[in-house]
Amino acid sequence: MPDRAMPVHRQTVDPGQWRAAVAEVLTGGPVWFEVLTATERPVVAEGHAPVEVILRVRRLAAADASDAAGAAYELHTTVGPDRTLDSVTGLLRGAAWCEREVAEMMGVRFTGFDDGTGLGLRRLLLPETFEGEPLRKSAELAARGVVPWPGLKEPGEARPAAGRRRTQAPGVPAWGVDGG
Amino acid sequence: MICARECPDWCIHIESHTESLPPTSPRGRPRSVAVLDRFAIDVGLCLYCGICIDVCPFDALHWAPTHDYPATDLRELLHETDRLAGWLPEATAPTQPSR
Repeated sequence: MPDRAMPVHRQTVDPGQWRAAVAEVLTGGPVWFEVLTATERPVVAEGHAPVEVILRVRRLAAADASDAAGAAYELHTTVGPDRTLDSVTGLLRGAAWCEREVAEMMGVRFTGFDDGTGLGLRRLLLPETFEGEPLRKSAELAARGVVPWPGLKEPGEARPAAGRRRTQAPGVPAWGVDGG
Repeated sequence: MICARECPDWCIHIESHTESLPPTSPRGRPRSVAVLDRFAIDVGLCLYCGICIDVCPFDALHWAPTHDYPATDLRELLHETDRLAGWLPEATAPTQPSR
């Protein structure tokens, strides 16, 4: 398993340094672009759950003795409340699909996006009429509004006891049977 | 009901009620126990993530021993206890996470 044996160089960068950090990794020699993706971090301030964008490439040939062919380079950045980030499509053309997916699923706006079509940052998988950012924890799932959450009951309870501190599942709309 | 609480897509149906057991000694008090009424997994919704198996403090859940279709008919995707218990003789021993 090369994944286990090969080193992974992880680096967390400021969102303002994102493009420069990716360019820096690319100067070391040819790479295989593995993925650009995003995940939502726990809420740090009221209503603000930061989105972390992750890019991973794999070195195809060693740049120098300190490097190794097959080593993975992983860059992490946490975008601010404005959720904008420089696009890296100018450096890695293959990142275009990934950036489009992150944009529509997590609501990150990539500035300077260019995939060679001139059409700009647009949807990849979702229909044009879709509203919202489905992979955010704040995304509401309509089906969860009409079904009580099975996790609310304690052993021996036919229905959740009133007055207990209520934990809530993600995705339940405020208008739902368990909402509010 | 940790399994149902942790399930990311709400595919576990679990229902129970409380019953009072008579005291075991003359001076004892009645004991109340939780009795399981229903446990069902909707494999039409299940992600096969295995979180319910990992979190169960009693190791009551196991992976099925073989890879197979859970059903060949849409109407048979809700597996109640009778169906789930059918796997039990073949179930592998639960693996403990390293501590």
